[in-house]
Amino acid sequence: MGKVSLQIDGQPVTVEAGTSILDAAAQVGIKIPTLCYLEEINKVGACRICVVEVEGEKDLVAACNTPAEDGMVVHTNTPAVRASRRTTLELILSDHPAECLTCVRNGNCELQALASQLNVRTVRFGGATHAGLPRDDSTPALVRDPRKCILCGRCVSVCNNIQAVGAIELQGLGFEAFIGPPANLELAATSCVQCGQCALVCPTAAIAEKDDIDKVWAALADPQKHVVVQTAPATRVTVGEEFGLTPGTPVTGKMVAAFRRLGFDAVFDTNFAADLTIMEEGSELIERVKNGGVLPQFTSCCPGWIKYVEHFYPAFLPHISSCKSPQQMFGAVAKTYYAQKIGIDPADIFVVSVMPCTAKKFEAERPEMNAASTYWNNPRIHRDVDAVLTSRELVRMIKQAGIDFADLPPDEYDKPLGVSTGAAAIFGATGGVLEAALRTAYELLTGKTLEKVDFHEVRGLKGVKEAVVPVNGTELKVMVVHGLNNARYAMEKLKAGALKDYHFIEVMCCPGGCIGGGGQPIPTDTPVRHRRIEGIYQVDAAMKYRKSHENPAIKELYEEFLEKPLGHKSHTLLHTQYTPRG
Amino acid sequence: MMGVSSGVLPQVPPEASVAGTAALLGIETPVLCCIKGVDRAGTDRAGVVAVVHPLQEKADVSYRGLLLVNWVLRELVRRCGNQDVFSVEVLRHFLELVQEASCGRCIPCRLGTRRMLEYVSGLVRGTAVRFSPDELAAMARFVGVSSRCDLGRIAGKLVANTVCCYRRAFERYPVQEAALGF
Repeated sequence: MGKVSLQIDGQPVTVEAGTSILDAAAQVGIKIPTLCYLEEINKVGACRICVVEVEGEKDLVAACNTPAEDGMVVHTNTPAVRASRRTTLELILSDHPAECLTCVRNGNCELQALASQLNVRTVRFGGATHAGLPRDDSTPALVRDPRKCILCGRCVSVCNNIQAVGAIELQGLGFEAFIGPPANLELAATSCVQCGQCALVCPTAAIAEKDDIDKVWAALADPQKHVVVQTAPATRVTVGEEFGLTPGTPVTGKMVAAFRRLGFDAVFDTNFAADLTIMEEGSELIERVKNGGVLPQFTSCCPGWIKYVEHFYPAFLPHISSCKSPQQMFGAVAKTYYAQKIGIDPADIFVVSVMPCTAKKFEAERPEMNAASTYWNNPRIHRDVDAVLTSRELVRMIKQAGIDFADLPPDEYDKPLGVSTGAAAIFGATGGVLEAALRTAYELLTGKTLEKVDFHEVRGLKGVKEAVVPVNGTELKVMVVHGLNNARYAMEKLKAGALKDYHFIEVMCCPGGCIGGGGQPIPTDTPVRHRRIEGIYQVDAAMKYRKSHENPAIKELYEEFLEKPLGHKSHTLLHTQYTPRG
Repeated sequence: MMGVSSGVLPQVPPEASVAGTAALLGIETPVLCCIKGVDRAGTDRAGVVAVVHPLQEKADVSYRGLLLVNWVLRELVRRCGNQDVFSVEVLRHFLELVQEASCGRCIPCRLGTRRMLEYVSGLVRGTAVRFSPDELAAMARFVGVSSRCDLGRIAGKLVANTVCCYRRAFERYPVQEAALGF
């Protein structure tokens, strides 16, 4: 492509043809304000906040989706531009509840920040509002508050174009236009996979995670309860962001210390269960390969992905590993093995998960996730996992408790469910589950030590990654996809019979894997995802053990309780079945 | 002539060359994105309803279309006879039509034309507060230059022009003293 030269606010700039005025301006240090715009996701020019004057044009143009042209003369800060932006913002605010002080996005709301940036201190307009619209809290994971929706369309774009789900859409005309599920359905009645990517991109609090903090405070205050917490692999490189640390900074020790101060009785690690997952899922793969089972085998760690297959590709559910996710394996083990080991009534154990993901809330409430109750034949035990907090909720709890997180001295996880390996740590990044499985499968199949444990071919943010790994005379063909639109690509290939020679496919619902999960700190964009992934591999490299089957606590678990991978107890506690949802 | 508060357009003489256009501008017309392919000589066929949806990514405003709509509105007002009443009534119906056709994506069109409609409706009902034609014109100009597609741009420019041409009509309506709202 050629280059074009233009002038923006008197400054000459040369950019690639096709570059937007917004990006061209950024190259000369001019930050044009935006609201609906979201790089790589939403460039519809709907909100009109980014309007600029272009000499020769009768009207203002949106900088986000107007390409720079040769000879263009652009003005970004004229009285007309300022007045237009201000009026646009005032119009939005005239139909937006003034609940900033009690809003979950207070201090992290793009609308609030824009009002400050544009120096809007009053709203001149009044009139009809959408204040009467009801909240939709029909799902266990997400809450929709249409009163706060500014119709920027980001959620619709991400749900349709990145996640290929299409659970919500822009409906109605004029002032009556709104965003929501079709036919006025509740979100729970749609094919929404509850991944929370909509909440991650929402500039306000029109879609947010369902807050379970009070449930956890109540358990912590109950002297009868033995409250344990598990922390997902991806949370340790993101929570620090909310306390001023660079994205991707590992804060594992600080998190553990914070949990102790919050009053948890035991602080454990989902990474322990991730190692357990590799033992079970790796064994399942080996069994499928050796015995002519259904291949390729797809990973099953991600609840958003599971729900997606249940809705959109139910005929292919036999391809999904029967292993529960690490979160659910942990819950089942905590209320059986751990309860037995320390001599506590499992009904008194309250398991809290801290997850990067909103879909984990849905997963914990799936009817079949009560293995401990079945195992002990005790209905008092209820769920395997009692409460799920997202990274954002954990941050709010820490802030509420007045803990100076940044200055906390690091602490260590409790044993035995806090012992883990580097293989488990990389579950948080796209390609991590597959890499961890390869580290173990190679050694189990060959009986040789894997010297080079880093599989760089399956790392990074490329949407679809493939590799061929020679293992004991067999060429193990693997694929990694992240983001459900890429998952759809893989499933369509599977449907067309083009994946017959593949053995193992990792799917993560969210772009970048769990480090980009719907419950992670906001903002989560591509540069932030890159830094978080770097942080994940730092954690891996620093671990004493880097292969799941080397985890001494896992060995102990099998010796003392489970006996062997895919054994009877494993099937009862660690494996599950799926629900075709059509 | 219908009453001001009835909210119904007055009858237009059937022989009027603008009648066809008036029908096309009527409330039952579901979509009005832009008007094209019309010239002043063919007024009985004027006002062909647009086929270009407001969702189009980028649309240069059709100034020919704007001129036509503007002319239609002024012609309706002129033929009605009672300009003081009718200009505001026509504007109200026009803004209702714009609201019904607006895709709802862009703020100036969705909320700007809605607020203008509320001002004008308030004026007609006698519930307008602190109304000022200058403020309405300012809002209209904003909508006219900032909207995403022809619908909002034409609507804004047309309202601004109508306020300019028939300012006296707007000023004849009683306005309450309360200081809330626009």
